[in-house]
Amino acid sequence: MRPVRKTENNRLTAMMQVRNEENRFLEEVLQDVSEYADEIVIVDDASTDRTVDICLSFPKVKEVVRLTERHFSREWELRSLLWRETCKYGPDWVLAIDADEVFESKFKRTVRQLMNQDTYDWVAFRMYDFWGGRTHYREDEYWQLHKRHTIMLLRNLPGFPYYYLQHDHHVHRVPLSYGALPGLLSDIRVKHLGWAGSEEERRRKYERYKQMDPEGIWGSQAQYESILDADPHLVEWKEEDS
Amino acid sequence: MNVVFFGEPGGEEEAGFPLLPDWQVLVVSAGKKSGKKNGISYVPLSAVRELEPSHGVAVVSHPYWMPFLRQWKPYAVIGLAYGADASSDASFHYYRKALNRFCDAVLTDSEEAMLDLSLRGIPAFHSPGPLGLSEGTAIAERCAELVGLCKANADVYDLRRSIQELAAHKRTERTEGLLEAIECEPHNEALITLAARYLYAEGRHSEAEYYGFQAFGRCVVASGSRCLSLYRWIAMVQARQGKTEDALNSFGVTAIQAEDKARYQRLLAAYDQQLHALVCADICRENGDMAYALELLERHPTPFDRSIRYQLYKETDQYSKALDLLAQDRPKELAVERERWLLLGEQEEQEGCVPQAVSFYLKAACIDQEVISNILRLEMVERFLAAYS
Repeated sequence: MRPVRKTENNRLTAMMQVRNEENRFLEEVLQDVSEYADEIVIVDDASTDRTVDICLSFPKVKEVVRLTERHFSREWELRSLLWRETCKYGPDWVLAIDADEVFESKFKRTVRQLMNQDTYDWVAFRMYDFWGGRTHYREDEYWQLHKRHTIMLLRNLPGFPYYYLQHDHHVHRVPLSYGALPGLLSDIRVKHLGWAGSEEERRRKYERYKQMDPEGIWGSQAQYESILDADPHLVEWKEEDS
Repeated sequence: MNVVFFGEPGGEEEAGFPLLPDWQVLVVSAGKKSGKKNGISYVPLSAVRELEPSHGVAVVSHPYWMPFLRQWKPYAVIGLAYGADASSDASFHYYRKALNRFCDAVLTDSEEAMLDLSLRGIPAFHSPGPLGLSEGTAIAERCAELVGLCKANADVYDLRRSIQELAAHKRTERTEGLLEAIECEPHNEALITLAARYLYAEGRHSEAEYYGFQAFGRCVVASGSRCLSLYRWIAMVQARQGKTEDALNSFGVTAIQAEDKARYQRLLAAYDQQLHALVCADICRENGDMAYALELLERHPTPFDRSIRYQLYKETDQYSKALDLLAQDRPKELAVERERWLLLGEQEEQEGCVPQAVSFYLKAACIDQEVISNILRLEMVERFLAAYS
């Protein structure tokens, strides 16, 4: 019988949900993840561009589950599906990463250490919202994601129940039930590139948010509006000491 | 017949036990005081010794009465386990557990405690409210009901079975009530957890597992790590249904402390050797289902189950079986020798045979001086009883 926790030879499967990621950060992210993950499982939310082809061009992509109908307004279903599809391969650890997120390089050197232990079952990281480029991240009243930790890396515990809040948007990326287990708050940082594109791209994202959540039920209206701030407070990103 | 109330120091005045037709009600009082008030006789312990034990029902609120009761041997013993967890005294808890096992019925203010006792095969009843036998209180009414049952069964061989049936009936009523309440409050975690525990006690194990998971789902949203103890309880429910792999897996998830990790590794090794009964028994034992754990081990004995069986025999007062197991160990080893003297001492202590108990404890203390604390415990109980003599 497979033990619940192993202290060696742990395998890592990255899971990712994607939609119309062509000409964004997908290739860069998959290239990066391929350097440290053993395999990658992807759920494609009915992309209409070359996203699936790009995914399949990476040898470590084990499977791309293609949805024919868009699930963007049923995010908890999408997250649950992604979790189930990933766990069916029996990974030891799962990394929940989005198509616009890149770990700083220290992660590659330490990820095996983070997994090959039996003290904690998840690891959380600080995520920084890069803004209008890759030199600065945003930090103000509405943009403080980096001030708390986000669980991204977790041990797969077969049989352990997984729950997602049945929210349409902004659903936790990992099952809530893992909060019952011991975890580690890491000082390793994650670059979130979703806002690093042009002003035009940010405006399109703003319009998409306003369209999907006009009443601000799933997120903060004020934060949505702040996307268009002409002069946001930006902080220079300093790369880690090598 | 006589109902004799064995209270605690300073608590005699609160014992306004409801008067029952054809029953004499007595309260043991400290300092050789005697008298009669409101139809209740207050008597010293020496007067109780004069009573015919086969006509006596003892109602006991303090565990240090146990040695006396062992020797007096009344027809029935009803224990009152109220606020038992409030005391941090190890001796008190040792005697409380021993008294519970000795009782024909236990009344308690905690539903959790009641369910735990039920799993140990002790007929237990939940009766909320502060300890006090004043007429009209829930505890007095339940107590009177049990005394009535004792009277009705006076000529029946198996009183304990009648009390077990009454306890089972009360549990069934409560279980149905809880399941109805959940329909109105489907997200009430405390209610669902309690229903799961009742269902387990009822033997409805698959339903208990379903509600256990339902409770866990609500618990993790609200209170995070606190709910791992609930998850370990689910492991027992799975073990009880023979789902060994699931049970071991669930236990493994909760094995976070070093001691639990080591135990998990041992159970994994047992599982790999196909010793499934041993795995399930250990998980059930830890969660309090002693009866099932023992049943499993006696049905599927293995050479590797000795330490678990030994624990179970000790916890269920089966001293001769525990001693037999010890005899199979290496008797010349000091640790085994110490354990044997300790066990013999405990056996005598439980029977109320103080000189013999002290003698055995002294022999154990020659190997391990920590055992002296058991002799101090005996002295404390003797001082307690002396105050009433």
